[in-house]
Order: sequence, then C-alpha cells, then structure tokens
Amino acid sequence: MKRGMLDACVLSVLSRGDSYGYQLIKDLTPHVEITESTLYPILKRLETAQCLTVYEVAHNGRLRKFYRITQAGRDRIVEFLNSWKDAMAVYSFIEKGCQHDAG
Amino acid sequence: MTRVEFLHLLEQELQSLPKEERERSLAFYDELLQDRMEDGMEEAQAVAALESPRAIAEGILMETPLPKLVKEKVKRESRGMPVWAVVLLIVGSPVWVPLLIGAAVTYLALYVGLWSVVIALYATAFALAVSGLALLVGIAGFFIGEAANALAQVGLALVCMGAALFVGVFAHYGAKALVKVIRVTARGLKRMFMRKEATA
Repeated sequence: MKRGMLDACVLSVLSRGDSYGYQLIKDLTPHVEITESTLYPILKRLETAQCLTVYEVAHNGRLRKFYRITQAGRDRIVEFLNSWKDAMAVYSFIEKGCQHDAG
Repeated sequence: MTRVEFLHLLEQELQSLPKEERERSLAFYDELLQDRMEDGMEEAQAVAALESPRAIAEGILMETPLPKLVKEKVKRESRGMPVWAVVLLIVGSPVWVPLLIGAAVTYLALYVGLWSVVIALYATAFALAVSGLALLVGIAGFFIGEAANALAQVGLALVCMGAALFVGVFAHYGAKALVKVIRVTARGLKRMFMRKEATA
C-alpha cells in the first residue's frame, strides 16, 4: 500500500503540471518521506507503466529531464484514491466497534 | 566528495546495468546535484545529502528486472571471448546445452509445482463451497416430510462450507507466502549482480 502511495503522490504533483527531479523532491518532502533514491525508481516504474512521459529541456547549458503525466497516470491516481476510500470504510467500521464497547 | 567523484563511484557500482540504463541513472543524479548546487548548496554538502553510491546502486538494481541483468552479464562476458573459447563452447554444446535445459526445466517444474499446490487448494475450497451449496438444497426435505434426511443433508452442507473456508484460508496464505518467496529469491539473485565489496 505504501509503495502505491508514493507513486500516487508523484503522479498527483505531476497532474498539476510537468516537473523535473529536483522540483519534485522540493514539492514532495514537506508532505511525505522521500529521497532521491526513492524518487528515481518510482519515476522509472511509472515510465515503464506508461503513467508518465519524459522529455528534455535545455537549461543553463545542460539538459533537464521533465516528466509529464499521461491519462493512464491520472487513472492510477483515481484507482489509488478509490482503494483508500474502501480502507477508510473499514477504518470507520473498526472505530465504531471500539466506541460501542467503550460506551 | 565532489560531484564527479560521486558519479564515478556510482557508475562503477552500476556496471551490471545495460549502458543506456546506467547513463540514465547517472544523468538523474547529475542533474539533481547540479540543481542543488544552483540553488546555493555547497558541492560537498549536496553530495553528502545523497545516500552512498552503493546504497543507491542497490536500490536501482532491485528495481531492474532480473532478465535484464542476466542478459547484460551474458553480453558482457561474451564480448571479450577469444576464438578458442567460442570454438570450445560450440564443440561442447552437446554437453552443456542439455544440462542447461535440464536445470531450467527442473526450476520451471518446481515453480509450476508450487503454484499447482496453491491452485489445487483454491480448487478444493471452491469444490467444497459448491458442494455445500448444493447440499443446502436438502432444506427442501423439511417441507416434504423427510426431516431426518434433510437434517443430515443440511448438516453435511454446513460441514462442507466450513471446510471450504478452512481450505480457502490455507490457499490464500499459501499464495501470499509463495509470492513472497519468489520476491525474496529474486532479490537474492539480484544481489549477486552487485559489485563485490572492495576488501579493506
């Protein structure tokens, strides 16, 4: 579940607009625990799954890799959110059960 | 450590990767370091903020599919082969090819065998569930005066369904355990592709 969570976080940031490695780290670290070593395999995985595409832009005499989300990527986000809705339903059930016993 | 030193170390750790993958990994970290430095961070600090090249390489190799690593290793080993070695390989093929096929078939049989057990468990659970449901029809016996028979049949139905659940649980945990074993084995195999620790 946690692996899917980080994938969804990355896709969520990209759904707001194309971004590149360093910017993604800056946008994500306030919200989740992520390092470059975690981000790189995620980006690779998402690219293989065709959830994003990569293109290069010249910047200060070097090439910067930009990532763009695809429709499959957006679908993946929805999939993840739905799976969490199910988990939240179970959470409420468990919570209600505890309250019933306490009362 | 400087950026160039770091990238050089990382390149060495990633020797098992095909060239294109290795270049892409290096480009990612190169870009990241330069961005950090552009943002004002000192070179040494930016490098220190990253994990060790070895740890990074391990992460990347674990994400790479095993076939890719094997293919690259075979490619690399065969590149520098002298003519006599190639001839020897070809001449000796009636010996090593059947052995290799035998080994491959054995592992495949083991793999299929393990999954067969899991599938058999699921099938048994399913069969028991269906039998249980079918026997439940025996409830009708209560309404046509065959109470004793009906009771026996319904009892049997409940036993079947209970057994179905029991076997089903085994099947479920069996499948989970098998998947975990496969994953752990793959990781262990991939570890063999990491650069040998430099002896102190």
